[in-house]
Amino acid sequence: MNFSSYYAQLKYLAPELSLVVFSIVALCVHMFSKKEANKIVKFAAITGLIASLIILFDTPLSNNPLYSGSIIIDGFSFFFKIIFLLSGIMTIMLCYRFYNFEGSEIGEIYYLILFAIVGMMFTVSSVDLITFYVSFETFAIISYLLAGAFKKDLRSAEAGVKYFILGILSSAIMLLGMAFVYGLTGETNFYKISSALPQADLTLALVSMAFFFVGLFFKIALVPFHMWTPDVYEGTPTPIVVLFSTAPKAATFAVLARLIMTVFSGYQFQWSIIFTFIAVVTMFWGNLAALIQNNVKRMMAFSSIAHAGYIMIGFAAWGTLSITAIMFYLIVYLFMNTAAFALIILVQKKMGFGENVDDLKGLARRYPMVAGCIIVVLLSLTGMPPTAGFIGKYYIFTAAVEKGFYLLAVAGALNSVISLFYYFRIGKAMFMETGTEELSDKNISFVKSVIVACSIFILYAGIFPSKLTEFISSIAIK
Amino acid sequence: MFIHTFGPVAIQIAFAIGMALFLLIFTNAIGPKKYNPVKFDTYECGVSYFNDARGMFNVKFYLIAVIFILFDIEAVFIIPWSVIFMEFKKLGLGLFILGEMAVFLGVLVLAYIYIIKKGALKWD
Repeated sequence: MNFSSYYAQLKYLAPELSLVVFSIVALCVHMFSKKEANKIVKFAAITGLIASLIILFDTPLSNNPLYSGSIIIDGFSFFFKIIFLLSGIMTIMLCYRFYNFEGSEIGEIYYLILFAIVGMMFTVSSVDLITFYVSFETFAIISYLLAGAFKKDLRSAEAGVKYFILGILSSAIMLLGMAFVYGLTGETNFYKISSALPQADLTLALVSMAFFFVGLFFKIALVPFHMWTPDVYEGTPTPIVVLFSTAPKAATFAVLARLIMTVFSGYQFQWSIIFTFIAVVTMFWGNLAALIQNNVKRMMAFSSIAHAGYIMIGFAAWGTLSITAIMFYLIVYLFMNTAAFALIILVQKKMGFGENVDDLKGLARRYPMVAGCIIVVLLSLTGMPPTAGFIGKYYIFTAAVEKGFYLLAVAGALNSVISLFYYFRIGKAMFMETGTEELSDKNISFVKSVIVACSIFILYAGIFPSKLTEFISSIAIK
Repeated sequence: MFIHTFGPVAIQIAFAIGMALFLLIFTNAIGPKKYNPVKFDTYECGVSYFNDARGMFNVKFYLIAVIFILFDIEAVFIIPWSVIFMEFKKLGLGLFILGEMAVFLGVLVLAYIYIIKKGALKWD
């Protein structure tokens, strides 16, 4: 091993290291000062995220694994790091209003979010089983803490405990799968495993693959492993749900893509069948269950399950076309979901109050601009032109058709129709029904700006998608 | 393939179960049976027992125990570090690995200060 390159390779990890430094600074500020210091903590956290984003664009990329083959800083991981940092920035911006009405602001959540994002950034970069597991658990354990951030609130505590118990169970199963992989090949490096695994026993290799996928499917909330999602999303503080429903899912999708490109690349026939089945079941279950929800938070939880199902179509029809489609969909999904949860934060009065569809009545009269932007977001979530959601679904279905998965594309299109019904219950409540006329408090500028920024991005990427796809294909596919 | 690899394991399991059953049945069958009240007591290393073990503990014990385990496990990392330290020094990376441990211990100390500040070690 060449140890002298340790210093030289540090420059590849600059975004992660700067984020760690900022989170420790935020921790120290929170620890050594009085209660009013939460503003400084928040400021330090958001500065750290923005600084890390700027440094990320200056960091060189390398297609060779670093640090004894445990980490790779390639274009693929670069793209996902942008998603995490954007998600973190928007989450902390939404915290401004949420904790304003909630009163009891918990300073810890800001640097916990930063630590979780560091974990995700290492997860998408890791090409070694041990590095992967440690960084995966870093953000997993922090998300259990964040789910139970309001420990005095019963529903938040329930969400934390539920997420914790189910999460550690699924990650234990994943660890068993990793142990099988190691036992079959004697290697921890993804590339070395991928050349050694085809010589192993087929049954055991498939068992290890199934165990491995259970842990990942749990984090993404695909259908046999989705039960925690509505309860956890309902109980968790809403800005944290913005983070939960975007960044860890994107991280896990990235890991799944890396695994099927390296470790399990020889078993495409088998995992393609698994992904096809899971995609269909997830889409139907998510959309049909969302139809009967009255709580918008639960509805959006099922909607996020359904969107994960659409993305799984891309995984089933794996190829260069579907990689671009998946990455495009994930970044669009980030903005759509953030805007939808920002709407919930806007109408929420307190944890657990004002989250129903009825509370959205007459919103168009109170906040006309927000309501207009939300219509764009809803169109995009449904997948209608001229929004980015349409383009994302179009790319995914094209990838499926190209590989001959016609029925999968048909099922996806059918589900878009189903989803129209519940998304436009929100639209109908906002525009066609009358409700309270009173405006809530004044601290909504950040929420408004997040919603407007998201809808502008969605419209822009929907009308001019070629710029984004060129960017994605230039960095992702070498 | 399966028999070939896991056959010895199966034999081992069968042997373990058989041995346990044999010992239980055999000692029950031929051993003398003399009644003695001490025989049915809970084993307490010579001290006669005084209470049921399933009592209630103060929840603070758990917090202290969890914190203890955390710091105990993290301190374990120092031992392998000190074992390979000289090898790194020979490679000219002594300062690097010393700095690594300084960062690690620094984070650990920060966590300790955090615990004290949060009042996790206060008993009342």
